[in-house]
Amino acid sequence: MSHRINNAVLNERAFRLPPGRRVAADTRSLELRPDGPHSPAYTTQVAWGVADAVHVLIYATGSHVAAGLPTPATAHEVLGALRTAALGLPQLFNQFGGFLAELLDAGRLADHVRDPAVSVSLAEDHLVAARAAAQALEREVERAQAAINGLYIPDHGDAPGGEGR
Amino acid sequence: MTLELRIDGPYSDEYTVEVVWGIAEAVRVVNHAAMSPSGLTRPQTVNAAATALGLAAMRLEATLKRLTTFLIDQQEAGRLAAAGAGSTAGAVANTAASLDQARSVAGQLKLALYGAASATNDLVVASPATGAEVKRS
Repeated sequence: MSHRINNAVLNERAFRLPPGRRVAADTRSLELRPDGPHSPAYTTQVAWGVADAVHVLIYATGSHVAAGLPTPATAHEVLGALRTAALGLPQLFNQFGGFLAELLDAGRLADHVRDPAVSVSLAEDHLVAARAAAQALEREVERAQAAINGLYIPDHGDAPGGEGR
Repeated sequence: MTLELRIDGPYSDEYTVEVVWGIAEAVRVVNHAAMSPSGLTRPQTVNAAATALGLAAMRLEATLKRLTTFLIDQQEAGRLAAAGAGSTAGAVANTAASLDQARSVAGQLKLALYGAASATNDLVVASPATGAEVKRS
């Protein structure tokens, strides 16, 4: 497998899972239980819930922006929550890498197409890159949140200062 | 908490905030699950989660772009003001620049997770039943 991935070929279809891999459970109503009970199916369901929730955000900030994002204060709140989400990702990717390495070391991994050690090594390389990207995402979202902090929509009759009006 | 995901709305300020904090909470739940002995027991779960989070990163690129568009539209319509002595145009430009950077790293996150998902696509837990047909560690 190549380390180089062509960004141009990545679309929604590229992230489809093989039949049976995605949990059939509906994520329209997603129960979030940090204390469990946990299962592989629940882990997968919540991860897909993240993707589905960001899908809703696209609508809230796009075609429904007038209702979904009425003020810069909402955007500030959105950025704060996204930053919190990004903060949790590096640890998660560490968990994934550690789990795969543990299975490999225990001789409990197999692979349908190649030596599982190669797959785990490739996965670890990508997870390291994902950790770095998540950390950078958190920093940039924090910067955006700080920059938007003073912006507001004045009430009628206010005399806002600043340029750009 | 229970997060209701409704593509068709109705949309509101409160619903947007609820959904985005739901994303942060969902990441926390997946973290807890990955630390739990029962939440992460096979490589297919890593594959599925990496795929889902890669898709989330791709959709985040679009969301961040829309946040920039929202700010610029509001500024061009003359609806924005900056608190204190700050310049509205400067604050919008700074925010847009950071959102662009965030979008760029969301793209890197998407690529990395796509790579992790591809690398784990054919991994399974070895067992006597699978050992004959797959490569073992």
